[in-house]
Amino acid sequence: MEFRSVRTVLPGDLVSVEASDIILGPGLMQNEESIICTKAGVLMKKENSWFIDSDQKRYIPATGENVVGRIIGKVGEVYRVDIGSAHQALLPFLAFENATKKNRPALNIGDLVYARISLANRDIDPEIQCTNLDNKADGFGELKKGFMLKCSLRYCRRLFSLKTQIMESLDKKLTQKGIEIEVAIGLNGRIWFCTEKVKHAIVFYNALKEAETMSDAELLEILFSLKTQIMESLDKKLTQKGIEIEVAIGLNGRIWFCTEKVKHAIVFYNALKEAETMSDAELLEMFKNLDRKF
Amino acid sequence: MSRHEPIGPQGLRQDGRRADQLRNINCKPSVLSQSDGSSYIEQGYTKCLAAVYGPRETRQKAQILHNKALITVEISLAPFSMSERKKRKKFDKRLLEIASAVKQTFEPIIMTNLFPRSQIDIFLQILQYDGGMTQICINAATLALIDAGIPMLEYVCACSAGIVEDTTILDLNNSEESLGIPELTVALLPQSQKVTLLQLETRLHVDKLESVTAMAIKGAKEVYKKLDKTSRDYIGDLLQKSNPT
Repeated sequence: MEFRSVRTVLPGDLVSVEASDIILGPGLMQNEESIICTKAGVLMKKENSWFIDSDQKRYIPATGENVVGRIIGKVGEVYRVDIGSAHQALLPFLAFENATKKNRPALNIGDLVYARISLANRDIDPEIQCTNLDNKADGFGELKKGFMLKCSLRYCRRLFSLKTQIMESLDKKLTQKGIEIEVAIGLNGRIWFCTEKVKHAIVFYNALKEAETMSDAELLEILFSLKTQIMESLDKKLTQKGIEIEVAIGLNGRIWFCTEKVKHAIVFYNALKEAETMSDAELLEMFKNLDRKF
Repeated sequence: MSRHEPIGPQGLRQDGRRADQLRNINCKPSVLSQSDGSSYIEQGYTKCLAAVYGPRETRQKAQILHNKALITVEISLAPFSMSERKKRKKFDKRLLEIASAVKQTFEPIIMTNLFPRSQIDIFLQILQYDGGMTQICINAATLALIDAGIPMLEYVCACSAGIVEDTTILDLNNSEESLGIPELTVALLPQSQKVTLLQLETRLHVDKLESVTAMAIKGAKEVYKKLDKTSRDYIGDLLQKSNPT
């Protein structure tokens, strides 16, 4: 049975529940006889469990969650890792698969790691490990190259819970094109991904950023969105003519592009400017026929 | 001349408001992308921008509290905020006093015991000043803390009131403040009806205290209605958009 939303709440709102045996989740606190909401969000309930679905950027560590962290120092036998929480996390040298005193991990300051929180308590610094409970790597460890993006916690949780569906649909479509994307979703508001070509990374980044305010169904759609279609159609036709254009679309109202010849840049610029007032269908049509203008 | 009288013959103030009328409030949460929480609020012509960072690592080892989070408040008044351009020092006594009042207002309601040895920073920037500094700082900080998702027992609303020639007036603007009349700022917890801050400028006769306080509390409840509606609409929209259930 899914959780269902009750209403929007703000800190200080009282929740009236008749049942005597209820489980309170994040954001709810019991004060003598009454239950108070301490966070702003949507109150969710499932049988006797209640919690508040809220959004924030600052991560509060909890045991068992997977996080993406950046190494910021080495102290004695541990690495100090920034996971976006109030305190820096500790990653012992031995918390890697096949690590022994003589066989140390070769990580440097500035490297990214995907780890699991092994110990989290409000009074002490959190500890993380790059292995799962059976001491196997299981995907944890150093994240080489790639790009890390920061987003809200709630978005990461959604992506994490939908990950199997996303992975399946993406897997099928992208392997057809020979595009590989490696993704690591940290529940601390950080998503890391690595692609072979920069343009694929740009497309994926934009898709991820846009999808933050979409519903689950749209989320699965957008990850194979308009931009990829544009990329495909342009790619085929322009490489036939020996023209290469690299484009970066910023959601801050800036579009960057680079071509070899100035005249191609001028044609592309005019095309983009013209297309600003077109509908989605016309836009796609225009891009499909762009090669004719060259 | 009626221009210099705070209350004119028809019971209207200089800016056309009645004695118990608040200025127009416009507010918006989540205006900055780089901070954990932020808000922008306008009360009449007074405009304030708030940014909240935290809970994060404490900057100075000497200030770490072992059992709860440290709350720091920093207020700055932009040089272009008043009619004459004037660069204010960061450690201006008046600003420090107001920052300390804001800190005291939030200390009992933020659940600091959940984040020992960390720090919650509240930065307030006044972009335009037309009276009511303490109240707007508290209102802006409230919205920003809600946006940052920092657990609080309740949220605070503040309002100021004064008394001139035996009439209590609500929400003083700059020209009324500079008349030197007593101004009382009240910070109220609207659900539990408790007061977390009571601050008075100049002197007030004790017989008048009750009526001025009652007026300020009434104003704070009006502010609460506005902030409440804005926050609820914003949160509802945000979460509904990404998960219509």
